[in-house]
Amino acid sequence: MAKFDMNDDRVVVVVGSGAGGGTLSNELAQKGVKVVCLEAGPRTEIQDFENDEWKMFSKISWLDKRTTSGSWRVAKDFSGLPAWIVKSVGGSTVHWAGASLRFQEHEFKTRSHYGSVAGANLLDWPISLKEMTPYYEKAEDKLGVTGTNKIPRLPGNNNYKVLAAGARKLGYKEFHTGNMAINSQPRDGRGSCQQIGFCFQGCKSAPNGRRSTPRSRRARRPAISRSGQTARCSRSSMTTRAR
Amino acid sequence: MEQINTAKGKETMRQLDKRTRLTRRRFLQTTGVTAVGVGALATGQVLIDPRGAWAMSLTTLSPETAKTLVQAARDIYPHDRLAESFYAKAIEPYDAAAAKDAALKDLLTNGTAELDKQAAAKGAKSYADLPNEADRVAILKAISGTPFFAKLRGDMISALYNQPEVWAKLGYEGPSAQKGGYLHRGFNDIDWLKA
Repeated sequence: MAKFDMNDDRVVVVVGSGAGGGTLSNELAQKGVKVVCLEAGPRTEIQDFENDEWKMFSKISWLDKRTTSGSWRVAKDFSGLPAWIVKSVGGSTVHWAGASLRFQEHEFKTRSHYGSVAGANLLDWPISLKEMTPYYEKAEDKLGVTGTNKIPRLPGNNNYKVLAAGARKLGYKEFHTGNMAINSQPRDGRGSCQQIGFCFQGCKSAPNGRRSTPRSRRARRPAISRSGQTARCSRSSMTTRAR
Repeated sequence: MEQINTAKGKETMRQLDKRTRLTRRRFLQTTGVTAVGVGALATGQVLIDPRGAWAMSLTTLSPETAKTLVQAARDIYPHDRLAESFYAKAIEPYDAAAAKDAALKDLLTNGTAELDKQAAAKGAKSYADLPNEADRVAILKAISGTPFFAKLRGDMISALYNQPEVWAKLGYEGPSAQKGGYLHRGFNDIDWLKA
């Protein structure tokens, strides 16, 4: 693993390797910036993924001791259950199914559009769809989102067929399998979706755990393939120094 | 899991159990007349299904406790097509867990004793011997706010439904990665929808 001088102020330290930290680390590394990405969880790879919901829950969820309080249902029924977010290299992108929808214009203006809610601090976003559009386009291209960049949508499964039939009957004109960061055809060196059915347990798109077919979802652990090695680290607090 | 091969050598999609299934009515008619047996082993006791379909060896929990737990598990998650053995398998780990956890042993022993007591008030020998499902469910509802009920209900979600044999019974086809996913094995194979 690369070592950097503690006083090297050209090094960027990113905390967490999930959707935010992982993506940021990757983009910076591609620009030649030296990045140290800190991740508390272990590396979980295709051979670690199992097509078993409960086993994967025990393997990649946030297993640290958790407490829950208040009157909500989870506190009552499952107060000690691990949170279903992922503590692993890649963070929750490991179990992200890839739904990649843009906000619509009115969703940036939540407060203006829906009005204030008593007792809540509902706000408009300080940015607009117009400002976000170039970034949406960039992300959709990098993630290979179906329905964008001339990428065909995924085929509909049985569930979809039933839903689509209902939508058609109700008079809907537009319905489809969604904008998904899942390859509907080989793209960018990665194979296409095999309809394994275990997106939330880690995409195991290589037979018998061998990586003969690159996984169909780009989003998973974007930082790692290009930014090099990682080490586990976990801290509850971090000392920062004013410069 | 059971795997079925076709002439082409490829596995077919459906792996549903082809055996005759009890209807709910038939099930309710038959369960009341059977009695779960209890035997003794050198290391503890054993709870035996009268039809010989399953047996559970016990070192810590009493056969009465286990019997009530099995029936309560079925009443909380009723599936007529599931044999008693699946519920027994879901309950069985409690015995080893209770051996290491006195509080759990108390929780299960006292919880089932309460169920049995309420069943006795309705004239039955024990909870499992109360023949009418609605009567048993009424008892469960009465104790649904207790830690015992919460424990049983919570644990049974995985203990019952995470048995691969249960998946097959419920028509869930399970792991697919080693078979190349469902892409060529019927992920879109329904034929009863008009286009």
